[in-house]
Amino acid sequence: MIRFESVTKRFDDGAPAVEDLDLEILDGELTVLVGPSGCGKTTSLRMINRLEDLTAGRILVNDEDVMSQDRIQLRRRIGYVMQTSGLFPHRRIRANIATVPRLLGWSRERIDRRVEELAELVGLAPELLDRFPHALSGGQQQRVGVARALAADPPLMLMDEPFAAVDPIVRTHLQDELVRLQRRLGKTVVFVTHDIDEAIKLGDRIAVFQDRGRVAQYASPTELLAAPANDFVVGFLGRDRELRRLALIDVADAGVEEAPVVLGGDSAEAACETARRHGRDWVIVVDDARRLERWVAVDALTGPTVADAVTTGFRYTVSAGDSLRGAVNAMVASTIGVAPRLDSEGRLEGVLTQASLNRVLA
Amino acid sequence: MNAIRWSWIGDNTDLLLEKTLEHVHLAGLAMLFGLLIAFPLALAAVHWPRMYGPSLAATGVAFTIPSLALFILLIPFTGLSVTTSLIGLTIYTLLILFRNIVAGLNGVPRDVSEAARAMGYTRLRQLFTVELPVALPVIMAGVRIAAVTTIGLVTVTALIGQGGLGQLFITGFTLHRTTPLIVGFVLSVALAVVIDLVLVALLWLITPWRRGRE
Repeated sequence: MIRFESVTKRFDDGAPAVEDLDLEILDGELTVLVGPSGCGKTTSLRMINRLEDLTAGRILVNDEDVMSQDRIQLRRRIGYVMQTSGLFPHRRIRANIATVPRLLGWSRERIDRRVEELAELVGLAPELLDRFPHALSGGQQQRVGVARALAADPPLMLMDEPFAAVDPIVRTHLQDELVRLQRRLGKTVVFVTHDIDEAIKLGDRIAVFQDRGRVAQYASPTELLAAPANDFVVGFLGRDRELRRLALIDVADAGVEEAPVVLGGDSAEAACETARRHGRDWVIVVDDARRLERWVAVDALTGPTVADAVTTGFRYTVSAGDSLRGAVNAMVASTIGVAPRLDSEGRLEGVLTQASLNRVLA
Repeated sequence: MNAIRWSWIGDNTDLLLEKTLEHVHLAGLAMLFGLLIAFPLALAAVHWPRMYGPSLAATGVAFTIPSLALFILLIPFTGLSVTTSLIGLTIYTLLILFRNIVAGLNGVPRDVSEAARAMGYTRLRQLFTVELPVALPVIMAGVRIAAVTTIGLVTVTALIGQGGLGQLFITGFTLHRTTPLIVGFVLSVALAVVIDLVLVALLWLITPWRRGRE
């Protein structure tokens, strides 16, 4: 556990960067420090491994005051990933990853074994290990940065906007992998970002920094979005806060409504009756096994059977594991305002409508 | 009429070899002392940026002293000795070496130094195993210029009784012979070119990460 106790950091030029910060970071969690630039989040992070020395207060890592420890030893025990990969340009990837183990004096065999293990863990192709950093893409370099931080298996990792400089597609990918890694390894991660989406996506807990290390709110993403503590947090979460909330809720947690379902061979008359019974002006067409096919408007049922009518496909469907944000997307895209929810076999379980969201958001 | 008497060269191969070696020896020692002085000076200037201006000014002023004048100034203290020529030659290497070592170290990307710190490098290890290697290309550029300059300058020290291949100029001049003059000239130019190429090859050899990049 990391505990900040009334921590103040003052740089030479006057105003404190962090003032009287109290914060507790729990073991095995991914804690995100988020806030606008100049809010003190990065300074707070850098005080943990003494890249900056604090001016007043204490920081305890596992009940030990960092200021009373040798800073070189302290840093070797804490993983660090930075925005630009900061890889050593004159060393091959293999040696870059091995940085801390080499400083710690591990044997060659142990280092080699560890490097290959890490390459696999962070998804680096083995042939990249013998290249120099400049031959790697930004995303690959960042993976190496993560592998280097993990090399000596530190229980604690500090990450300073590690994905800010890579393109959005790679970033999403790296974020997903970080979550996967953290779940698997159970590391304590302190992650700094200015991107609230990233914070919500990654954080078990989020500390929203307002200014000078003042924490406006410290909560889980769900709590943060459901009950922002003040106007600053509301503003920082942005105008699509409710949509962000939806992103955190599984469609399985929202109810589904029964939908008017017909088979292709049903008569048009029966289909209209089904629609009427459900109070809808459309029906969903499924096959014998209740697997979703298409939908058709009641007005279009002019032939003798459903199969004679012009039907429309669903561009999106959802199933358990997807977020409600995906469900809203499916609703908007369907033009009849519903998101079909399917089970793992592709069978229709029902549809989500805006009403199904109200229940979980309330 | 032949300007060169080839037989003279044949008759004096031992002398030419000796003078060439002497030349290399003088230039090499001057470079060594130059590096030994410029390196700590550059480290200090990187660490305390306030020192950079004065250090640059001092080495710059030394660089502008006419070489002959400097040697003559030194004679009362150190005589017509190797020491005199070495002091002079070393002083002329300082500006270029100092400036390039500072530029090289300051040119190490911030994130690279920062990463080294964050990984738990000691200051000294960071300097020698991270910052110096990364700064090497810029430092070597300075070493090349300084080496070539020094090789040219060594000939001037012939006037105080040293000078390696420069001695051949004196010989040619006093005996009114063109052959030693031309041979001395060609050999010292060739030496400068060869040393420069050797340094380029050395840099290539010790910086594998830069190959195929430019």
